[in-house]
Amino acid sequence: MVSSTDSSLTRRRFIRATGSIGLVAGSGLPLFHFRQANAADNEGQTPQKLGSWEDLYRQRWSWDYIAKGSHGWVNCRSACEWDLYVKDGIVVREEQTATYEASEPGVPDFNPRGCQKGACYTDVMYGPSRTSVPLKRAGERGSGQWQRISWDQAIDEIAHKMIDIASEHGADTHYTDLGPNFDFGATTMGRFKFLHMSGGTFADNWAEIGDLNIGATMTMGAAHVGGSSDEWFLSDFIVVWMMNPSVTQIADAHFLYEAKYNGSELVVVDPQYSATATHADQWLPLRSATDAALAMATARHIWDSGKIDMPYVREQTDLPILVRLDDGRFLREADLVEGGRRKLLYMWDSVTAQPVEAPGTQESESNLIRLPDGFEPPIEGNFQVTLKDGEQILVAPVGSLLKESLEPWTFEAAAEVTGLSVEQIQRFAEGFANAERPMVLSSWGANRYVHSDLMNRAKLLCLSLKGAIGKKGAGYQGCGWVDLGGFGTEMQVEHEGLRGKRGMMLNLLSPGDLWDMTLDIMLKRKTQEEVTRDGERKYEKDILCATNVTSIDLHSQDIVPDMDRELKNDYPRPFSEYFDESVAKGWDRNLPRSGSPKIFFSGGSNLIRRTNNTQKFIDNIWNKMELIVDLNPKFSYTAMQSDYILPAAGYYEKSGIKYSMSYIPYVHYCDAAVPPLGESKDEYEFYWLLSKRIEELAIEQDLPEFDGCGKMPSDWKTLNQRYSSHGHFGPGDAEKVSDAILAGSHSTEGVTVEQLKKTGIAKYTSTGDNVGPTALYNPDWKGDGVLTTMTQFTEHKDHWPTYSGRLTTYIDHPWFIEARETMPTHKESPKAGGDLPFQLVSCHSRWSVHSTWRDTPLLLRMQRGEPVMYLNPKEAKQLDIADHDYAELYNDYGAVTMRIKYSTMVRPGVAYYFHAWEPHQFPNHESYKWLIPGLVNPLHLSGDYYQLEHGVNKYQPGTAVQDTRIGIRVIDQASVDSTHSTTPAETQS
Amino acid sequence: MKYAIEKPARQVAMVMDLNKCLGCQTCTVACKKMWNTDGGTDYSYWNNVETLPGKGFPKQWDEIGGRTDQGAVKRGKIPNLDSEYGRAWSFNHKAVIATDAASGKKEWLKPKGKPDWGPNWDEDEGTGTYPEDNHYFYMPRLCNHCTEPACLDACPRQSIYKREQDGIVLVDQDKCHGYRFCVEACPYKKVYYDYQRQVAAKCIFCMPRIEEGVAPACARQCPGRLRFVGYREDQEGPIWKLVDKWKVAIPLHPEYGLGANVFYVPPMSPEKFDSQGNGTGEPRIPTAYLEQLFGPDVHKALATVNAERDKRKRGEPSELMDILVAYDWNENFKLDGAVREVI
Repeated sequence: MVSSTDSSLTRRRFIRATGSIGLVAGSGLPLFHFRQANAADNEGQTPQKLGSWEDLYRQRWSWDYIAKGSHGWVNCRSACEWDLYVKDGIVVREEQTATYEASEPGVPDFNPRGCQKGACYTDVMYGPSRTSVPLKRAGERGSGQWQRISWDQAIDEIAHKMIDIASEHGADTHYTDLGPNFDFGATTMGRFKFLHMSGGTFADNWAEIGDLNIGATMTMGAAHVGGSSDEWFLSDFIVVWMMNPSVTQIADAHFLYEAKYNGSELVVVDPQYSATATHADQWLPLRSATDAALAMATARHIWDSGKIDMPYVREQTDLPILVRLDDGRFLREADLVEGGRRKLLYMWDSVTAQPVEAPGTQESESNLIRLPDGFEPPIEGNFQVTLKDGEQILVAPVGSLLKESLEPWTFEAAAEVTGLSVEQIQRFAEGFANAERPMVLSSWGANRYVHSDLMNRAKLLCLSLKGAIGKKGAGYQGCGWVDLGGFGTEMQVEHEGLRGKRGMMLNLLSPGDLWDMTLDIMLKRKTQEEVTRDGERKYEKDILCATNVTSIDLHSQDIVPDMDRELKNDYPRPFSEYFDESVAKGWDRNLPRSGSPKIFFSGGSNLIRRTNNTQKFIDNIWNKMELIVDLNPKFSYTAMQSDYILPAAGYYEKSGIKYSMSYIPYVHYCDAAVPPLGESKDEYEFYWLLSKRIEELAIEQDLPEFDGCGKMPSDWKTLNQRYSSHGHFGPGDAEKVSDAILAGSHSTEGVTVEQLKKTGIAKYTSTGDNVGPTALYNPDWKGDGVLTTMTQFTEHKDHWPTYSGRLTTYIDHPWFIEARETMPTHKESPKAGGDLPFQLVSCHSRWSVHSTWRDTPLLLRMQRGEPVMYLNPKEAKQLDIADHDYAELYNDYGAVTMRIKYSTMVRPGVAYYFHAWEPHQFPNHESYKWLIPGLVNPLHLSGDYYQLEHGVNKYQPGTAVQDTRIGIRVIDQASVDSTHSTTPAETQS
Repeated sequence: MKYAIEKPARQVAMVMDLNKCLGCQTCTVACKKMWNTDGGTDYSYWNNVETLPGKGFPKQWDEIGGRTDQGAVKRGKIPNLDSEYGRAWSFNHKAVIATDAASGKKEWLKPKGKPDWGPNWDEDEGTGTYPEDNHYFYMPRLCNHCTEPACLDACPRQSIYKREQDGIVLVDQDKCHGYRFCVEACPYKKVYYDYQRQVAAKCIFCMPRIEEGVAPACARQCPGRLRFVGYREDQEGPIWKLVDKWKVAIPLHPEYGLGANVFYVPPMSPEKFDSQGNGTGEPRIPTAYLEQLFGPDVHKALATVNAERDKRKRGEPSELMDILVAYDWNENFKLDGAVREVI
């Protein structure tokens, strides 16, 4: 906590001086802005007495002290630092610190950041749904009947139950999902370390919530790609394509509109006239889910107009890689030579008329993709090669196949599919083709259709052809991450002193693995990054008990028959065949081994709220669990259906480190401005105490060792020893954990908690270890300048983390060949839920970060107090539905009741909503989620293909919500109230 | 005017660039958290952001306001708390979270009563036909701290005054008797009534912050960086440059004739489409509508912004574009004292 430098003495002197302008101007004002400089001087800014009515107001802008804070583990994909103003032990308000500097001359600075949610977290913290004491369910699950208990009782009961359940069903039936609320500090570290040390199953939910950019993984080998948001300012042609920064990236959106003033063209591709589109130069109101068609026509135009960056394309993309025309597979050394390598691919040498090894593929001699001087492999043509058995076949570069697949995508054809006019498409395509630094913003919302991968692959194709990816001020902005390696280390390692991802692996891999790694590096068979990357993959596959939420749902929710039915016309085989094959081949991680999970720890996120086909989830997974604990600062719907609700400390009540997207390349610290409210505890402490109690009981009972998920033993008799790093961290040491995380991270060299308590922020010193899903692949960035990504490949010429070592247009996995998805293309959105008139399209919310803030009165008053579905007024009127009426939304999965809001932004045929309303905000406590089957793309169950390997945060099956169709009909307004509710009682807020 | 208003030594003023507004309402929340969380003013928003075209807050304020023509006194209407402002709704969290199992009914979370208006009720509604000319934009509003305030003029007790050192218009909370003539009179409907303390209350331009060289919360907390604060007369400051030098920032409803000291850079918009989906070259927001709001100067203002933007497209320098980009955010605010945020 840092006190204000404003002295009350200065303040009083100033009040006396208000009559005199001269004094006002020259009074050496009390330096609100420099308050940190002599922080220890005094105890804040509080007027001593009221001299006039004006002092009433002056007193409102006063405080006892200021702490630095942020919203540590809310799942907001950005970070902003705040001054927390504390008066009489209460955080009364928050205001952005706004001390960021411009990254480099000629680029606007990041100040002040923030949004309206951050500006009123205090209303959540002290709000009507805040938890403050431990509660135990006193009736059936979801009955709303609770009994207040002590922490001791809660911990003791939970420890006993965990031992009983793990003994009966296996330790891996303990299931914890990633979040999505999480931080990079002690809160999440404690939660996951407890899970790992006790041998439970970690389930990633990136794709399940529809946030994982699978198209990016397919193309670039990384899902989280993108630099700092001030890089947007440097583009001359910005395409906001499946993103709505005015609503979902409030702190960063200004760079777009400032780029316009710098002369950039701003294009928004969106079926809705979004808040971002209102500021566009071009708005392209296309039909939902037809984005790939627009991209294909654009790519065709780039090619036809000769605007391809040919040197880039030859070196960085797979367009010169040869494909066999007989079976659609790449030409491999194994095809040509007996005993040849499978993962060695070829280009064509026109001089020798022979195929030559492509450098930088997985089994090439060279790790680099740089081509020999003067070698210009063709990207078009047909060539004859002789296979090892003497057979002669034709091969063609990927470019040839691509050109052929682009051929049908004339402007007219794209107009037919997208509903745009030829002129609109042409203007866009020409702008894109002629741009020097085209940039595409495709955020987490860009992954909500079953064919989103194709859409993103098609967008990336346009950028690849233009040589834009890995180029400053251009490329793909899909939310990159700055890696805080120390977080992973602290979470997964039981010994102190190991640093970064490599340190983590040193602790976890076997001596044999380590010897192989050493040889790989010494013999230069692999780059260091590659060795680390491979080590991480091996660790994840062979050691970590990790799966993903969609996999668990597929195994236990009984949704496979729904997928079979919904997708029967969209893939060559039934969904269940893909699923069975994926399980049989071990591509699907298939955990827990014994079936559905039995123990669930919810970490302040909201699993039931977000799960599609909710009723099936409750019936088939939730109700089969034997212990459900929600550790949460807030009563969520999930909390209300749990066995225990344990009050977690809020964001201003514990030490925390905000996770950080590369948008804002600073580490953001959350100080404990005030002690935990009521009886709440920080998560790190809770898991410390729980692991201790379990350890005591395990020793008492001489509990046999568990085998985790069959990969690593887990001895609960040493659970707390391992959790606490052998006593290094005590239960109250969350802040010490934060320090250890910072000290263990290459991206925060020299940054300490002590420093952050004063400054709140510190610029990252690098992008981290540059491996794994959080890699930004810019080894040169050391905290100076705009953060551009992917230069490791475009400048250093390392091979991309993909099968071909290149930006991938062509995937020759047998499933993709069979499904005709080797290359980007447009496929129609299946009508999930029935052939009904409205497509259910969502956007992240302006008014909440997922369900946090969703029920906050201050913000509900600035909406309509209840969930609303946006409809185009013309269509709503045709349905005889008045603005703000309740209506019934229905499809094959059921019917729910919800209010309708008129908005001319909405495309006819779309029902548009801003997400994350709690089920208990709807009549009968059933939200639109009850109507969404959540389509799973069967191809995402594939594996054994370098970037297509299931892994945390990278590649995994997920659920697509936006293919859902619904009907909407008018209902009797009076019936809603009478059937569903008693008269609401008043709540103080 | 009824009262002679002495010209203040300086006039503090604000410019808002509507081309950067996100509609995020951080300004509204910042203001509300600071000044209006008490029972008597919880319904009021000294700063609000409305979607235009739309009815605004309070509902149709531009039709129920006071004086409408230069100098011509016309009493307006006091907006209704429920139907025109919207009461600060209370909610039923407790009943929803801890249900009465015996009742067998599931209450859902909702506001008490049946509200049909609020400070942002018609958010994102807009007007026009999709996709040809549907349009909307965000319009942040606060007290204009007028040079000739209608509220001041309407007060029989002379409780309203314009501060000599900065021109901020204040309601003396000791002197006010709560007659609400000022609420009636303000054509922008930016004077509110505190139902508990029974006095008029309005935006104080964060007077305690201004006194210390800190911009008002709505401006300093604006993540869209669209607000500029300084003194009208300061030729080194952003206000004079945008209002007087470049003439791109203009007041809302200049025809009210009160000398508003809050100015707007009017909004550009993407072009309209004809029935074939081809661009017509006209902006989606009709300039006639913008003229209704901002008067005839809006044409010149928009033309200047566009012309300067074209210069930047050609790679030429433009002071105006540099100001609006706000490279160094601290320079959006030019008040007294050292104002530089540092780590």
